[in-house]
Amino acid sequence: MSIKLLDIVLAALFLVFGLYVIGSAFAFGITSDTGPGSGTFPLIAGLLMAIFAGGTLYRALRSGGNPDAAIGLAEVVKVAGLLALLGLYIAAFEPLGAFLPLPFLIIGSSLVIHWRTDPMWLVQLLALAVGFAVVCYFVFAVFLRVLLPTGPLGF
Amino acid sequence: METIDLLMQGLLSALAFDNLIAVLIGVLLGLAVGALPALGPAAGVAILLPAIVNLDPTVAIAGLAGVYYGAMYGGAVTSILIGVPGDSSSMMTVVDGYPLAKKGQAGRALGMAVYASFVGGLISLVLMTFLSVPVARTALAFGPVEMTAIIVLALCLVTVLGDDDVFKGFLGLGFGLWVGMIGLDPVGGTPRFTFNNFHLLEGIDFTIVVVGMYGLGQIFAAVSEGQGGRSETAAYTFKSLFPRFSDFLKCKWTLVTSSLIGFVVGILPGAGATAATIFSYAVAKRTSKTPEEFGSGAIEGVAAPEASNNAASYSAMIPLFTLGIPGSGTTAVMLGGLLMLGLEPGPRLFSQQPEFVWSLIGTFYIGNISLVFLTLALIPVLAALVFLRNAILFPIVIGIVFFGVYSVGYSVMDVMIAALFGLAGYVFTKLRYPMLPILLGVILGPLLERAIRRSLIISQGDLGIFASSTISVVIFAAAIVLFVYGVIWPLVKSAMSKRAQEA
Repeated sequence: MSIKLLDIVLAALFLVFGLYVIGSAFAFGITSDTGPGSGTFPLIAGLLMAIFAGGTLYRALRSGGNPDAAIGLAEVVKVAGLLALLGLYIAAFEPLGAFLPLPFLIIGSSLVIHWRTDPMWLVQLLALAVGFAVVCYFVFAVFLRVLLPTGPLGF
Repeated sequence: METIDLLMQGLLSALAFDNLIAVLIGVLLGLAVGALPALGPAAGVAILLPAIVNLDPTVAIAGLAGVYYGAMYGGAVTSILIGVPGDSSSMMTVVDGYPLAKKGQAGRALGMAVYASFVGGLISLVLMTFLSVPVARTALAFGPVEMTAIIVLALCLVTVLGDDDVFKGFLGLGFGLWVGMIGLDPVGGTPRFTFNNFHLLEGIDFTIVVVGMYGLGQIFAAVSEGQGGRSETAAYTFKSLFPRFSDFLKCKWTLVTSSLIGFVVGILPGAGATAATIFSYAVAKRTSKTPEEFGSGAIEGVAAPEASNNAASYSAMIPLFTLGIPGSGTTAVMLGGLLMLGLEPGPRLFSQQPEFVWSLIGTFYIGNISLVFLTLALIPVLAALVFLRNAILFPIVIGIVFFGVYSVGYSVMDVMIAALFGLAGYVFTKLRYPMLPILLGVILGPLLERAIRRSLIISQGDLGIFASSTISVVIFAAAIVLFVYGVIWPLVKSAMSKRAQEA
């Protein structure tokens, strides 16, 4: 997707969202007995978004833009991969505990960032991932006493 | 004399073991996040926030401030060694620092960066010591009306001066204000934009937004650009880390003027350390006997931005402590830290909490001195961090961010929100939306709403209250001028040039 198209889409989304915020502001009530109501500030935020999104959209539509500037599929896949791994870790966080699935997050993220599968590298990565989980356990669970969920192995 | 006595008491208090440890941890974390290209001081302060909740306020803020000025030292490392600024305030250091490194003079540039940072910090601290109280006394005249004006001016300054795209700046500001409004209305108690989700009733903690946008967003942007490998290294020796005497003589006036510029610009809300480095670099080049060397490895080109960004990092804390107004993303996060600890930064902080304030200033002096030795000793380690593959570094940072965000409210929902803001940060980075207005909207929005509503409750809804004080009128006028200069005037200019072209 070209940067110009993405700029247009985001500005249009902000414009629609700004209008939604303005509508909600009126629903909350613009004034109250003591002056401004719950909707006064949302109205200001909505107006800022709608006006400047309109301006940004207008400029994006009129500008030539750089035809070579684009976000490639590979870029999107990498970011989506990292977000998916984070989602999987969040899903495993409560049932498996904070530290058991952590090495998988580290190894998976590393491979998404830079795909490399030679055995020596994978062994190093595994050692790093397990070591990091151990350090996190001592820093967050033991030293900072953060209440973290424990899994079937008790950590 | 009173100030010197208070400073001496502050220095003695700062030497307490807890304070020293907090400064040490803070500056070490600051050096690390400053040196890491993906993380800036704002993310470093945000990462440390959950750990300081139960600490003594002086210890806690000494640690957070240590991250800030430590990052100013650390930011130069990546700028000089690999040509990638650790954060925006070390951007100008790249211009001459990296060419020096490519010439095999990385050590000379690193040594000057450390020395300039120390001098800039020291000059700013001395000025801060003697000027904070008068500024705070002046600030006592500030009520809710004046605070409303100041916050409006700060938001305008940040948005107009912060980045080149003012439209996107104000759009981001509107978005930030909206994020800050999520949850219960602070006066009426009406739920706003909670989408029937009870997790959102208390609003979104600003830390989650900061860590998501600055931390995860920058990592996503770097990863998407394929920065997974290792960067090229530059050679240096420990001996060469010390500045040459000839460099000291050459840069002495550059250091003084850049420190003063950094101090003044740092105080202005919204201008921040990055603007200070740009101003000081421009002045250093203009006043240099050899301006043609700038851009290809002038040692003054390293000294000027490094002195000014450190000076600005200290002076930025003056409006933070005396007015409660953050001048940068990092001080905005620190403001959140102060509020979290139950401290109300503002005009009364100096009169009501003098022990806290002067102990903190004492820790700044100690932090500045200790950073010289720590940086010199740790440059090899910091450089090693920089040369870690991003495929190792980024997963570790993602893990730390996860635990940091989870620690804020013990909720995976917060982590999901941080990931969403990370995605938003990535898209905003790609489309060149400035982040600072969004962040300040989130943090200052609720403060602005409270100030406006308190003012209008006092005046029983009469808007004339905002014109009832000379200070507020002057500040509002400045905000209007800034808005016209930043938004309206470029539009008029562009329309005029278009007409001229058509004619």
